[in-house]
Amino acid sequence: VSAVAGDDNLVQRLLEMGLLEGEPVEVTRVAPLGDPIEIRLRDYRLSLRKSEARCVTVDEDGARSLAADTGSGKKPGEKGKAEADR
Amino acid sequence: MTAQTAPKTITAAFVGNPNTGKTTLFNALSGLRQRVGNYPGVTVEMKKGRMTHKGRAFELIDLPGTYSLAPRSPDEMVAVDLLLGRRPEEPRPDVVVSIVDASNLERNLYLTAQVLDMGEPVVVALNMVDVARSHGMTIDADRLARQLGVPVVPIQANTGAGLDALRDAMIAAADGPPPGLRPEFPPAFEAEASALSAALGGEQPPFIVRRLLLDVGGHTLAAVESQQVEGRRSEGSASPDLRPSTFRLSTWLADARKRLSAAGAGVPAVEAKARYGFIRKAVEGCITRPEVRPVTWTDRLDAVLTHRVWGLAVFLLVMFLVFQSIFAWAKPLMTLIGSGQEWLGAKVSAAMPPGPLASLLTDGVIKGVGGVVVFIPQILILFGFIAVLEDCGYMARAAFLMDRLMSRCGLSGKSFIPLLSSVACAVPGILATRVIENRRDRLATILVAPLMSCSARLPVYVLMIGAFIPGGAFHKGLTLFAMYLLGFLVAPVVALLLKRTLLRGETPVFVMEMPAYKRPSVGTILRRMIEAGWEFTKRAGTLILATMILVWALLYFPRGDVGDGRTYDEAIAEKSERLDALKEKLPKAEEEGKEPEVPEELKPVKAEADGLEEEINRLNAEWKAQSVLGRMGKAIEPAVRPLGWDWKIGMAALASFPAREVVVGTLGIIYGLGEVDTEEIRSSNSVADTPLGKALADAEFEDGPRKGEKVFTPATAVSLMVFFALCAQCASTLAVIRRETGDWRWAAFTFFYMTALAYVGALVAYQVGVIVESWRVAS
Repeated sequence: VSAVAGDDNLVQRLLEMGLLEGEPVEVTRVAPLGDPIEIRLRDYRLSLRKSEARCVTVDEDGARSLAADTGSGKKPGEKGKAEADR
Repeated sequence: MTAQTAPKTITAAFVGNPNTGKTTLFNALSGLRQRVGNYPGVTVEMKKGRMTHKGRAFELIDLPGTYSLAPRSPDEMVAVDLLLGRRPEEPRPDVVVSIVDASNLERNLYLTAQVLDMGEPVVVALNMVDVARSHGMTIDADRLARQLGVPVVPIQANTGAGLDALRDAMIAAADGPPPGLRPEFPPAFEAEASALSAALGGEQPPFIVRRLLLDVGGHTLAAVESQQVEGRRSEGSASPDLRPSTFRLSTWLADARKRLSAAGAGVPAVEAKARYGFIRKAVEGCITRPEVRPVTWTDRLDAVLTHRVWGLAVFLLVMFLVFQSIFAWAKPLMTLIGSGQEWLGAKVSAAMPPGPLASLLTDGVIKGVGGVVVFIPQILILFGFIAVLEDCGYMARAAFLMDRLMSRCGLSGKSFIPLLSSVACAVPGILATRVIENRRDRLATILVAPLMSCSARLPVYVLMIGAFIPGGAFHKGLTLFAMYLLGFLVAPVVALLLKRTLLRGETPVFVMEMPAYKRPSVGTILRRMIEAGWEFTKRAGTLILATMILVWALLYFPRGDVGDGRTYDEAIAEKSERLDALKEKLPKAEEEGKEPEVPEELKPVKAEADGLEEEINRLNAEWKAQSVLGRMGKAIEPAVRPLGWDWKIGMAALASFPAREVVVGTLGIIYGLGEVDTEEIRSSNSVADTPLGKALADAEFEDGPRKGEKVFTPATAVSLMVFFALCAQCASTLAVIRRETGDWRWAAFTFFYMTALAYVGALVAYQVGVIVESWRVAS
């Protein structure tokens, strides 16, 4: 995760759940109907809507939103790692 | 907190994330000695219990499971206030037990880090060590305790291991000093916090001051403001000059946040960074993880249960099972309750002289109590299922699977099960909305749940379709399906409208943990079933009973005059007695529903009995027609004429407002057929041939422009069905809505919007039906 930005309430919740800058996350699953998605972080798994995942930027090979990892045809399971501590 | 002299009762509060086994621990510690603590103005309930250990008495409070102490609603503010000792109902806790899931330590410690800020002694209960071990993780509890600055006790809540050590630690902590360590915030933030504290005159505890700065949602601000207003009111100062001061607070906060942002400690990120930084230091060297994360059972199960095809198939199967069980399993029990109620009613009326009191007892009280008890099997079964699904972790998957579908109409994945349950009965369905955390989502679900066609509507559908819908079984089946579809289609539309208007607000955050699967605990499930049943009986039961008695009175009074100075009920009672005497002489029916052979010599007796029965039914019909409710039916006739109804249907509809299932019985009485058994209609193969079916088919308008015309046409039947499909004719549902929302205005709102919707729907159905019919006749 390289950045979390967007609606303050959502950001607060995502931060509380441990989605901090520099934290590795992995998209593990997409719901059968295409939304929400499931991600793994710290030692647990979290489900969030794509609209919410869009607030999370991951940085692996070029910055992109977490929701982009779930795009059609792309196999989930890519790891986004970043050392972006300010 | 200084209890060195005499051992005083220790108040201990339990906090923890959802799915950490907090409730299991609480149950294990307090046993059966539990009660529910209610706090005025909020819908949350906190369980309280007692225990004694080594001669010390404990008062235990179980706070709702949460990920964070940042209050998002007045409900969550209660938990914060309680921990700070600011609720008048409870003393400030002497020790806070923070339950954490060892397999997911870092995120669980976030809440612990917030609790450390409150300044009370803290004990960390390290639960689910076995799960962590199965994930290949080991945790050094002693080292964690040193680095966290508070005792850490490994426990196993489901087996009871480590509980004594936890009790010891609780006593030691309660008598000891508050924790020495707390998460460090950047200096810029600390400076703002102390400046704000000074500006507030030092009235607010440091935790609240920090929350004021941190909470972007504004709930802490709202709570502090309302507290200031209260404070001034109780001081009795006549100064109405409140606005400037609260106004200053919100601008102060906005300015402070701007300054923090500029200093690189922007809200809300600063809190998470500070706390997770603290946690990282605390867990350093305490957790050993395997090189490669092992594939767990949860992974394997999820591969199937959230699979594109299998996941949906299993989900549909589970839902089918839940639905079937509330429908089918509860039925024998409900029938049993029904016959028990009849038996008791018969006993009472046999033991008492006829009159208002006997009627009140049999038709008012016993029927009313029966009307409450009859819901309990469904509630128990549904809550059994919900408890199992939640406890084992499947509920989160169900929400995960269904969220896309439900979010289209402004609801969330968690609304699915309550809505599905409402197809059997809205009462357990509304109770089931407790699994929805977001208040607005939950309200929207509650308000549309009664639109689902519940099982009580079925007799009306069967009667109307069987008697008046032309065509074969296919057409009739299609009509029945359409009635159910009506609810499925209208509910999402209403939900969407509500979310766009009354329940407008920022889109709720869906973010939801997918907990590891685990074996559900039988004790927890039984507890939840019993609690749900008891809560319903206690809270909604009284209101339902009162409504039932009210309708009884409206149908009973005035008792009228049959012409010879006797009232209707007296005349009926006398005739019934004679009828019973005659029936004694007649041979008994050998099989249910089959007329016995009457010997030649008894034919006159049989004829007299039949005549008497008709007479009684006629008197009953006259009596009810002149009762208060009958008069109301006549008064509203002009309003129901556009729906194609006569006053009798209007009255039957009015009488069924407390419970729609009575409509068939009421129609029976008004059309002079006596009490018609609803079950008979439901199970009848050819409804049109039953006495009620025939009577309805023969009914004609008594006056008005359509005098002499048949009342029931297919259009009338459809109009009546649509009305019943959309109307809030269920006092129990309204009572439960009032109870679950904590506000009778939501119940009133549901009643009015649904009644209006039903009226308009029936009007449209009838007018369209008339056009279609005339078109059909013409062609």
